[in-house]
Amino acid sequence: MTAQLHVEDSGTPGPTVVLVHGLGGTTTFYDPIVPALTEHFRVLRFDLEGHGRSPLTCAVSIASFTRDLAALIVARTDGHAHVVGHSMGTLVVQSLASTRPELVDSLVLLGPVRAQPDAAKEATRGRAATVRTGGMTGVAETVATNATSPTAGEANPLVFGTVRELLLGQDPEGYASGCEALAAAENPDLTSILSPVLLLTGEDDKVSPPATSEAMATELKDATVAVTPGCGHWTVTEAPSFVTDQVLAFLTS
Amino acid sequence: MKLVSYRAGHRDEVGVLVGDDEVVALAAALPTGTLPGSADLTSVIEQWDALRSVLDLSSAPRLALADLVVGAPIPTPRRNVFCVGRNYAEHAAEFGKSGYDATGANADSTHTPDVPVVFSKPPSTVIGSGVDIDPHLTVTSELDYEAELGVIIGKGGRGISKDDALDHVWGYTIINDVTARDLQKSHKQWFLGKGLDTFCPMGPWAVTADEVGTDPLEVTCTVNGELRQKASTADLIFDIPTIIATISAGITLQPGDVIATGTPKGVGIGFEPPRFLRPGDVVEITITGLGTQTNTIGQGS
Repeated sequence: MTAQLHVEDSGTPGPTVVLVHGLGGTTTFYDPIVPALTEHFRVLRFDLEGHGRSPLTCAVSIASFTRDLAALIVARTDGHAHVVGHSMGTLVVQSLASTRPELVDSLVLLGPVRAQPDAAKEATRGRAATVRTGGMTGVAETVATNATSPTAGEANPLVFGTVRELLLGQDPEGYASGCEALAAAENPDLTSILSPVLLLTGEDDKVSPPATSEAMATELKDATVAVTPGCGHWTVTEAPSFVTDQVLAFLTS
Repeated sequence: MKLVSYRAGHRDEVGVLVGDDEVVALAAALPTGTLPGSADLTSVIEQWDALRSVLDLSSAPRLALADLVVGAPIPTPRRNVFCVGRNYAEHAAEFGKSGYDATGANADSTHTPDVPVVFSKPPSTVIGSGVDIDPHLTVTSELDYEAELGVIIGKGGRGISKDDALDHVWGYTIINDVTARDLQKSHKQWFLGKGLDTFCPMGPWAVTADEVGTDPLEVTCTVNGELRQKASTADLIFDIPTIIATISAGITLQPGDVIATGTPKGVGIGFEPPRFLRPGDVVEITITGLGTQTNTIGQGS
């Protein structure tokens, strides 16, 4: 494992849940669900390389993020864990479940995504160029506005600020590298994932619409799909109670 | 084809060994829905012909064998493992000479049985390669090894003829018929001496009959690297068809049944004085085409 990764370890020893954030996220993204999880599980979370408090030290990719996640589970658990991913993090955890199934008890995909279509790849690479020249400000505004649901934003004005602040706190080069990792992603082989999978997405999610989850579920062996009402792509931030209940029910079943 | 059973998170999975060091999860190499959920090898064997015809190893991800915890190919058999005793002439002689056979068998110089000697080991004896054998220090002080070819039944049946017997064989694996000689002797019947927990190391994997073929196989066993047993299955007194015909005459064989075919000369009680296993000893059994099974005698609890 890359030594510089920022890792947070909470809860009591025993069955473990590992949380993997998405592009522009940090461990903080998961704060709303961690207290409830720690009543049942040990919770490990880390900032992906180039994100938050984990500095960029080499070229990153979905494969390198997956290797870091595998190394964390091998080094810090008794060899297997429930694994939760958000957005780009769902590509990382899908990849782990496909290539290192022995490490995975079950999978939770929050705002599940597949490899981007070509047009979206171009846009993502464009976003990398934008932050390299202009910093995080413009992108932070756009993501906080477009990737969240207006319904959630009206119910809780902190949603916009929380997402914007997560983005603003990123190192532009780390974020740009994350964009390139996402744009270069290939589809993990869903048919090879044999663990139970919960796919949870927002009703108003434009990045990962419910139809994406439904389509992915048909390729998985053991899939459950849940759709969060009045919620966009930042599921944990926008609908903390709903997500907590769904994830806990799935992990403790 | 070589099949392995391994742990994946909380699940038990069956995989196909590709080359020496890679595994493809069987369920990942089958169309979605073909194999519901996690499968054990016995249920795979039950559906083998149907599964094999749609198996596609080319597109599923390759897992590194080194990353996996591989268990016995059939980690918990649905019933006892059938075993054949005194089935190599030289072993029958060494066993007779040792004084440990309390079954009242003819004590002539050959000690060769007229019909197969059949006994069984309960499912709780089965462990995988790499797992410690419990020395049961408070129960026995005469722990011994017996390297054997294990036959795995594919198609079940009763009254199977010798001619048809090999059609009922799904594949083969390595069995160590671990034995507490003092219990085997003092309790007359062999069940207790052969049936203690961990007394049936199986694996490392199961190999289909078509891959193994019908030529004789070489069985070797070492203890701490020293060669103890080396023989050919051509020297079985009762061959596999005879064993299957004998057992199935009145017992309906079922898919996934395992039959250990007997051990050759060179077990611990064949030496004078006997050389019993002790904590820390490493028993390694190799059979042509079936891999190598390695188990250490544990320290006891």
